[in-house]
Amino acid sequence: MTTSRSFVIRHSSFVIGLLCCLMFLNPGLAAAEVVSSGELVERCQFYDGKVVTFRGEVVGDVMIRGEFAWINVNDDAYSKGSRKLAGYNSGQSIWCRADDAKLIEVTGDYRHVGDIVEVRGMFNRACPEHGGDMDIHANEVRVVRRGRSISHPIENGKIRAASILFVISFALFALGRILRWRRLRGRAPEPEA
Amino acid sequence: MIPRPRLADFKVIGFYSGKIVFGVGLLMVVPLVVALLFREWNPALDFLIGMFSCFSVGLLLQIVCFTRRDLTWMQGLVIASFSWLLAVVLGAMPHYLSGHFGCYLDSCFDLMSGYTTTGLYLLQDLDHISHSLNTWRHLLTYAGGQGIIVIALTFLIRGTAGAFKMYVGEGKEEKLLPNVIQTARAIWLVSLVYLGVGSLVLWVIAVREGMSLVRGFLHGVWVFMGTWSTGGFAPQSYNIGYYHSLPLEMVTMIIFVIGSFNFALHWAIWTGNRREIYRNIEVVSFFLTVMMTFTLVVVGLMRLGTYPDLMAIFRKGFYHLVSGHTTTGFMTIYSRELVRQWGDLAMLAIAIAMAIGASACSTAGGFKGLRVGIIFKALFQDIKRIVSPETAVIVQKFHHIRDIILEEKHVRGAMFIVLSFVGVHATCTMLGVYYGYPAVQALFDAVSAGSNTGLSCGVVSPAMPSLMKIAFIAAMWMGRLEFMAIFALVGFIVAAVRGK
Repeated sequence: MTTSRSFVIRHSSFVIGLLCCLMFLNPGLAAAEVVSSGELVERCQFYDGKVVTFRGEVVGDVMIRGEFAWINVNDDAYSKGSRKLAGYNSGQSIWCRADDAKLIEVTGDYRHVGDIVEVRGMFNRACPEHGGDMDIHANEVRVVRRGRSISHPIENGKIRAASILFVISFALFALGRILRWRRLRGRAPEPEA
Repeated sequence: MIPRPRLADFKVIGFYSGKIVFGVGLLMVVPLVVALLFREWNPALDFLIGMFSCFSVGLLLQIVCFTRRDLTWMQGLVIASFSWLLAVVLGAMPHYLSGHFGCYLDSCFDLMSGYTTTGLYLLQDLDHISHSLNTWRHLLTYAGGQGIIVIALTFLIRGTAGAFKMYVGEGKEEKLLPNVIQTARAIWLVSLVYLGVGSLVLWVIAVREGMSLVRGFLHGVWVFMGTWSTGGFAPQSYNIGYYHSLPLEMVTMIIFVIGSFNFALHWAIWTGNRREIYRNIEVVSFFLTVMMTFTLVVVGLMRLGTYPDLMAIFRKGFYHLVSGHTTTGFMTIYSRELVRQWGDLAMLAIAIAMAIGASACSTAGGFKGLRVGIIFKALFQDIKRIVSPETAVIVQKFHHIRDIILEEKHVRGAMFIVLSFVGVHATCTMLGVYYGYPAVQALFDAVSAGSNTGLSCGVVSPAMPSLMKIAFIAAMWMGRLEFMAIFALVGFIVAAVRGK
């Protein structure tokens, strides 16, 4: 009995140790529970009705509808704070309790990277409650990281370009007026009618 | 022997194109004001640069090419197509300077898509763009829907007999009033009244659905512009699916159906001729083709069991079908859902609807209901002729504002445009297949671009090959101007190079 228990303990610690090593070597495996929006759309039949974990940036508006709310959560490259161009936005719509939605303070827009939330809930490829929308009905919404402001410092090159173009267009406008005035006074050649 | 264009031809084309480009610069005042209101300083500079570039080029052309000559047909058509190209290249400046585009070609793609009310876009990270850039995107579709030449005719060009020739070059032929300038103003009157009412309704819905007053107002105006113009641009990357709102979907559907009707029909109803809505060939044709294509969509979706109930089939299937048929391009599903959930049959049904399109002289694209109606009437006439005695005289009529006897010139004109569209769709599809996209997906997005719709199953993306981007830009341009003006421009260039 003692021998068999020690055998189980020895082997289970070996298996746990092996799993830990694998997760350390392959972080993707460690985060395997978090599903991407791309995967949800491409394999929607597989994930339909399953409980999934989804993580990303809240963008736009938190739209409270009675006791519940809609939030739109992006898990694209921009949600990780990158401002480098990396294609279209991608994400998922989340139907959650209004109280959970009220935890969100910052939503992503021109001036902000929104709060990063982790959502756990049931994925619907065509939600019967919401007219066939693809959505996640959240059981739990957790703010993982607070959003932040994005600074947009004024670019001096743009000020210079705008100034030069203003001068050019003003000069052309003035020239046009002078030519018109001279034509009216008969000092400039009248074009063929 | 082709006669080489004279200097006077170039001057007329340059002068009027200059006026239209100046008008595009004036349009940028609207997003500039929005940028200043929301303290978006960099976008404000982008719009100043774009605006002064348009003013400089416009004024330079007007000074160098000053003329008092009236337009010939050829000049009017060339001005229409050339000024659209200039407006795209110069109008793309604020887009490019925003930093949301991989290259200048991508920003030109979005500009052409906006002016032509297509709604496809290559802009990246849409969810983080400024309010002013979003205003500019939607204003483009609103202005493009009425026609940038219509704008110039309304505000910048005094009545000339040749003005009608530019107006026709932009794909519109209807004269609501005897004078083309008055017609242009009538088009604007109709559009501005709807803008006020429609934006207000959408604002109320947006606030009721949980948006703040300010954002609700902005979204109301933007979505109205995208809807009325059958443009399909939306302020967020989720498109109309962002709002998760049945009332908003219903109201947008009503607006884009109204927007897709002929301005002459609007005018007839405004001036008391309400029976026109039941008798007009375009309305009848639209109703029949919607029913036929919707049946195909339902069969396709039910066969695959895509949606759990009839309400969902209606909400998704009918919305996207009508969105495609009116060439709007609004979506409440992800692009890739079309491929993963809808299947080929439903996608092909939507592609047929997009190809047919809505009414002539409206904000919509496609073959147009009038032409489809004429071709079917001609077909019935031929069948009647076959089954009737040889001595019988078969007269076929169609109703468009008034009863018109169907003649060969109507059928020839309709067939010419329809075949040109088919050629453009086929070319873009082939190109997509050449680059490795599956045929149905390549066809879907090609038809969407050529018919100025904007629905996409994922072929159109910033990663698309440059040649495809150029082909799609050309398809949108040709589809909007309906070929004659483009053929005139090509003929003019050939004559300038090879003429004697």
